[in-house]
Amino acid sequence: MKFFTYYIYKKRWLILLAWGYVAVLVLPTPYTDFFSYHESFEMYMSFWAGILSACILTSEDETEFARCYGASFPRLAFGQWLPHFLYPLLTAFLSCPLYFAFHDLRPQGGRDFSSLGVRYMTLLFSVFVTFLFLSALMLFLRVVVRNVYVSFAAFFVVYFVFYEFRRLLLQGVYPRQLVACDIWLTGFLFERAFPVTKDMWLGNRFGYLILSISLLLISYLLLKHQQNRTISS
Amino acid sequence: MELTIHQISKSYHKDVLALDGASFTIPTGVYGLIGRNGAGKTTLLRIMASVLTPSSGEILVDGKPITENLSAYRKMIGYLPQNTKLMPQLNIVEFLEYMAMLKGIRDKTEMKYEVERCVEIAGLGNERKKRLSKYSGGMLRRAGIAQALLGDPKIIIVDEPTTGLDPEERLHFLNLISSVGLEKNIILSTHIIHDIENICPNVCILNKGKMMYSGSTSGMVDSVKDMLWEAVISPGEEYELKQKAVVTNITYTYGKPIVRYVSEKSVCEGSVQIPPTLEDAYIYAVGGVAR
Repeated sequence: MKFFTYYIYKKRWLILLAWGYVAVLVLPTPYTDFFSYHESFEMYMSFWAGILSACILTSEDETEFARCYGASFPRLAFGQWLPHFLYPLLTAFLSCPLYFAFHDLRPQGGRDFSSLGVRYMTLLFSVFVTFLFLSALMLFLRVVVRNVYVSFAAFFVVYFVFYEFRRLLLQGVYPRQLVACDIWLTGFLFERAFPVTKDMWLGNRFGYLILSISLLLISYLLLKHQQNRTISS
Repeated sequence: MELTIHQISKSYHKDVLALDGASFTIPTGVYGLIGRNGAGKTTLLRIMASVLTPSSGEILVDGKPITENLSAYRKMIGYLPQNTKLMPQLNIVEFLEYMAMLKGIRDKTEMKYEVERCVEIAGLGNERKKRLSKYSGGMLRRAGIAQALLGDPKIIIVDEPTTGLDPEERLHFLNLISSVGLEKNIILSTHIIHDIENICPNVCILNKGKMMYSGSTSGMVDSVKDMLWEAVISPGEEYELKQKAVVTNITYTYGKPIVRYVSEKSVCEGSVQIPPTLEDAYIYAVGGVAR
């Protein structure tokens, strides 16, 4: 466990790997279809996102301080997180139009998401709820449960239930978008929850913002290029 | 303020007894806690830091159990755990601000004042912009003490802070502890006897979870007064001597063993009485050098 924590902690490329996965889901690569139709793979990757999140639980030092000084769940949550809350939401808000530009979230036999407003709000809601939920869960496990193995197991179980529940709630909105969101949010959790990871995203939060927008912009341009080729042929 | 440890025991998994009825009183000043690795020092300190719950016994502050008002007690303590990494990506100011937040210091002016005060006490005023990852071992320990001092706590708990420090850094750190300890109750755990000897007027010795001694450091040394001997023996006689007395040290000069041992009477020829040190008293209290 410690080895894994060290790995996450020291090796930023693992975080970039998560980004790679997001890119594979978002970019129109030859593998997109493969990933789209293999939900088990997506579930696996969701768990991987969970692992990334749960690894933070092993930051024993901080928990030791927090417990000793009586830093309760709300103090950790609001003292450290609330000031940063708007930032990920803002990024999500800005990114959503680009996201919808190349993703059709229309479900098969489910609710009608054809209205852009509804689609927009649905995804934003999903992002927001996921962020809140995973944040709260992770903080709860870190501060209250403490035992890393129990927390690990609890995170998986609760996350799995949440994942399925959310799918039911959204009545078939394609899960890959949601998984991508989860990983994206996991990154935020990493950065926002714990100051130790302050400069993980290419040095600072602006690096992360630039990376987010760049990825989405590149995927949008690639899609447009592909569409033009289809039309001309 | 007086901190009393009353009959504290802690067991893990039913049959592992980490602490067995430790009882002692900690007056104002630096109080030393010594013992071998695994003696129960960290367990005791974690109980005192309210991170761990004892299986039995209680801690009292001026006669009142801390469980009566745990949150008030937690406001009184500063804690530096063993081998803590202290968030290497932050600089000292960012780190202390975060710790101040954990301690419940919300007012920004107060937080800023406290952070500055602690940075200065720790002698890190010129290292503000440097990340903690760039700090030396000694500077990191001082940063640890700085966070423990936030909010001006009355009780400071420090777990093996000098392990791995070079002599200069160690001295610097001990001076800092010593100066801070004039008005506070500082509990310093270590297995480096010289640290205790230098700055702790009172000491407690733990061995295998049991308290072997509690009282003044000078009293501890006096417990083996007129009982410490030194003798040059023949090679191979060490084992025989260990059967008769508690050997505290053996050094070899030109192939000849020079032995220090504690015994009421001389047990080998040529023994001369010498003044004891805290190390001799400690080794005697824990029953000789562990093999």
